[in-house]
Amino acid sequence: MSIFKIIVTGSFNAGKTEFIKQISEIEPITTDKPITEKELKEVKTLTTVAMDFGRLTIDEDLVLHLYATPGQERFNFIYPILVKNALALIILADATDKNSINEIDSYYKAFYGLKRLPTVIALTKTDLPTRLTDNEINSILHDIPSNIPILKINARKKEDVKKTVLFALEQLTEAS
Amino acid sequence: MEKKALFVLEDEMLATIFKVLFEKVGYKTYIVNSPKDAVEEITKSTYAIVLIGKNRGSIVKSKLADILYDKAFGFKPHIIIVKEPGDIVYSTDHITFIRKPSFHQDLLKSLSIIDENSKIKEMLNSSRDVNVADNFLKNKNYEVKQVSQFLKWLKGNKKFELICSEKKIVGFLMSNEIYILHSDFDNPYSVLSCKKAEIATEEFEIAEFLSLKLGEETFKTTYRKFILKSIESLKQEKDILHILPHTDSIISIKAPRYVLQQCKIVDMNFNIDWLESHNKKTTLKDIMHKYDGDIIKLKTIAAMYLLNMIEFSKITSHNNQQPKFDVTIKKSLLEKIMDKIRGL
Repeated sequence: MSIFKIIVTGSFNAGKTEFIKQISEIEPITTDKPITEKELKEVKTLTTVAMDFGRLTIDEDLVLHLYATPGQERFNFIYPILVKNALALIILADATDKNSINEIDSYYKAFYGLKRLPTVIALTKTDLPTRLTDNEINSILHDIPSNIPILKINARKKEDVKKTVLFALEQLTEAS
Repeated sequence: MEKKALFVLEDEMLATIFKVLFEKVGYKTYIVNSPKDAVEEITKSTYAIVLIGKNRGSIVKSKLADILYDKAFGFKPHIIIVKEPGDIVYSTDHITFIRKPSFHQDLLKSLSIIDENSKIKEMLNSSRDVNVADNFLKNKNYEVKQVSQFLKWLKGNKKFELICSEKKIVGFLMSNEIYILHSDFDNPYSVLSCKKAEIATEEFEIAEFLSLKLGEETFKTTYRKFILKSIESLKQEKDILHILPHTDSIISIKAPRYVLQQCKIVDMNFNIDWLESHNKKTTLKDIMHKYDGDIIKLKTIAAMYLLNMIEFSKITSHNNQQPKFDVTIKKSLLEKIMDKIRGL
């Protein structure tokens, strides 16, 4: 069986759990919930450190794992494990929270240093009146390479989540 | 055994407040207002707590804390520093700090409005703080900048004021030395943990510098030491990576060999022959792989970068012949995954 991964990262409260919930066929498994599936040896280790896990079966020989990894530095040690077989990186940020957007660059660099993954930045809560303006966001994200798509999404909308993941995976087809 | 607390504090009102608090929780208190008396006292009697506030000495509070700790008779005390806005305080295992309370000043101010009592006015005046850093910069034109880039390009004689998450640091660079006049940070080296900040700068005229009255307690260090200690204070890899350009950037050496050799951290952590032989041939990512993500090596690279010993060439991913991503998947499997997601 082939297992690939999509990594969803971002600051606290950016909507990571909601994001994977939209396309996972199982209710996301969060910290310390028991794992029974035989193929998920790795998941056990990872979920015990506050990681959300979802799954999407493509066919009987192909499975996609969805990991929502906490942004706190103390969990950085799991990134090298996580990037194995990873196909894409989605960085979520809360558009109402300047710190959340400020942290995008560090997440990008942390993963980029380990593995060059197709990446999409998705800003959540953009419908709220307290969101930062586009100018403010652009000024914070000016270091991010211009070829990385920045989307505004609602992490509770399945279509938005699908679009985000597809944007990331399409980069692989373009690169091949 | 009775627990004792020693106060080194000249603010009479504050000393009285602390005395009441400490005695309420079972401490016997002893108050002095000069470091000399404090040293004398700590060498002859055992104290569980030493509280250091503004006193008649010219020595900085952290330094006084170290001296009192070293000289303590018998049992080593825990030291609490009453931090005022301009103080530079380092937290250690045996030193903690509290912000200087201001409620007593507020109370006196309110009282002075309704009561003509001259004693109140006298106490209010004696407890009022004057901060020289407040109007140090004439024109505060703040710009949001990356703190590491600000430090990297800080040259000549410059005044600066930096605000990050409501913490302010005011100081200046005079030739090769950094002076800090005011810092809300626990210690000024932690300023590099701020990624971006609102920063205002201004030229600093020599005449103005010569007329500036600086106390002996003013924080002063060399620019190089400031950069090295600031990098040293970073604990997380991601904070160091934030200083550096992308990991695919190519490293070129700018500094002459002797400069690299004279910098202890470089000499200790890198084989300079190897560095020179790989000049313009190696990337940050290569070095991270070579040293298995060793954070000390990464800090050394960051130090070399901020001290302009090395430079990075821009990411050239478009010209790069390597694959764009480190992902291996058969096209057919990728299409299956994408079809499944589209159909959800």
